[in-house]
Amino acid sequence: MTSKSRNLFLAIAIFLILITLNKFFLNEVKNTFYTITLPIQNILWKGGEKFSGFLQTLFELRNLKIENQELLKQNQKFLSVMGEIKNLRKENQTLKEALNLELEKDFELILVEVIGKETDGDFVLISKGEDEGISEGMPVITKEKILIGSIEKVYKNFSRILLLSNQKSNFDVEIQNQESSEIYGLAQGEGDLRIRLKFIPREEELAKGDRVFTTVLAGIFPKGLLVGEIGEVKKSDVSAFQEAEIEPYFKRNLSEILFVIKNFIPKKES
Amino acid sequence: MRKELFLILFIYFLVLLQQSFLPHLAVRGITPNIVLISIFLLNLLENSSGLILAFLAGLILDIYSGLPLGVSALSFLILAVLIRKSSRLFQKSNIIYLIAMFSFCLLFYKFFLSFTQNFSFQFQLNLFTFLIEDFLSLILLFLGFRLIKLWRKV
Repeated sequence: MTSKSRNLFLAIAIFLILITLNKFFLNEVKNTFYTITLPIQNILWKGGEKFSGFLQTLFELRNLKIENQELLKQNQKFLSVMGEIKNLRKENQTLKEALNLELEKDFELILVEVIGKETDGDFVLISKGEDEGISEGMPVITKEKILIGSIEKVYKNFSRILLLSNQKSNFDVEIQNQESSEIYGLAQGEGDLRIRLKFIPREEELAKGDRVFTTVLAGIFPKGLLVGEIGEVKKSDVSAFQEAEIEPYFKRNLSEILFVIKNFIPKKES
Repeated sequence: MRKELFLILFIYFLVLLQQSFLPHLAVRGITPNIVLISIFLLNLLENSSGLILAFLAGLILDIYSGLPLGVSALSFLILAVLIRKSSRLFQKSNIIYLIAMFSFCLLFYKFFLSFTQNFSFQFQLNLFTFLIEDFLSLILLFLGFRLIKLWRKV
């Protein structure tokens, strides 16, 4: 057998093996590799978190003194407000119990750990899967109830989260502006952790910093989860709609621990 | 053979580093592509086994991403061939060649991924994020290039 025909034979064999693996064993192969390297990925993820925290502290050291003085001033103000808040909290708690509106009672949560994020495409890998009752479409939030995205692919012991900023992601949102009026729009992922807000009528008042929440209109996510805040707003004279950037909160909160909402079944897209 | 095995394990570690460590150090959510950098340097400065290592590195990357097995592997293989061919025409330490060739490789890799996922030549590229990724990767590329040169001298 000549060297050329041997190489050709080898290439065909590799091609056929890859096709077979992709067709029949892709999930098993990936799940096996993820299981083997899980401890290393856990160490790297936690290490990365600590290292970035260390770097952040190092960079912010100069501003700490000024910040500290400002915080002391603020602290005094807050102390006086505290008493008032205590009373309000008590009242609020009683009302919540009466109306049975606690979020923990609404959602059945599965605690998951992040072990990796893909460089290309806005996806995150978590360390629980089918065996723990996770299924495709389930929303994922942080402990601060900030929406991260939804489960895109489930393996036996692992799952991939499609981040809200992924190009495949679009969902209905509600914007709470300073006038407290209800504005609805469509959030569209643009990749690289960016989200764009679309189809907001021109006459609506949007401002930087307005908060964006999920709605239940399309049935993709539960109502009232925090998405982010409005960034730059773009208005055009020729268009009936305005657009805006959404600064997703998960960018700052993509921590190690996340929660999958188990008891919310999204409506299938038609 | 021992050297190749070490290189495969090293690339494997780089893939894990890219997926689990680097996201925390992202600049505007963007991280350098250290696997592509290693493949670039391997094929630029290493004569033997660069092609096989490129293919295997792509395969490992495919396992740890949502892509079908073989997509990154094939694109890395094509890039390895291109890097080898082009490095014969230019001086390897020519800074303009390094910048242009690596930027082309990064662009090709992104285009290839987009093409295999959508089966369309329509390619959406955010120039700003591409330039940041390219810039970050080039810094590491030059650092790696210098380190390898120094190591070889020793």
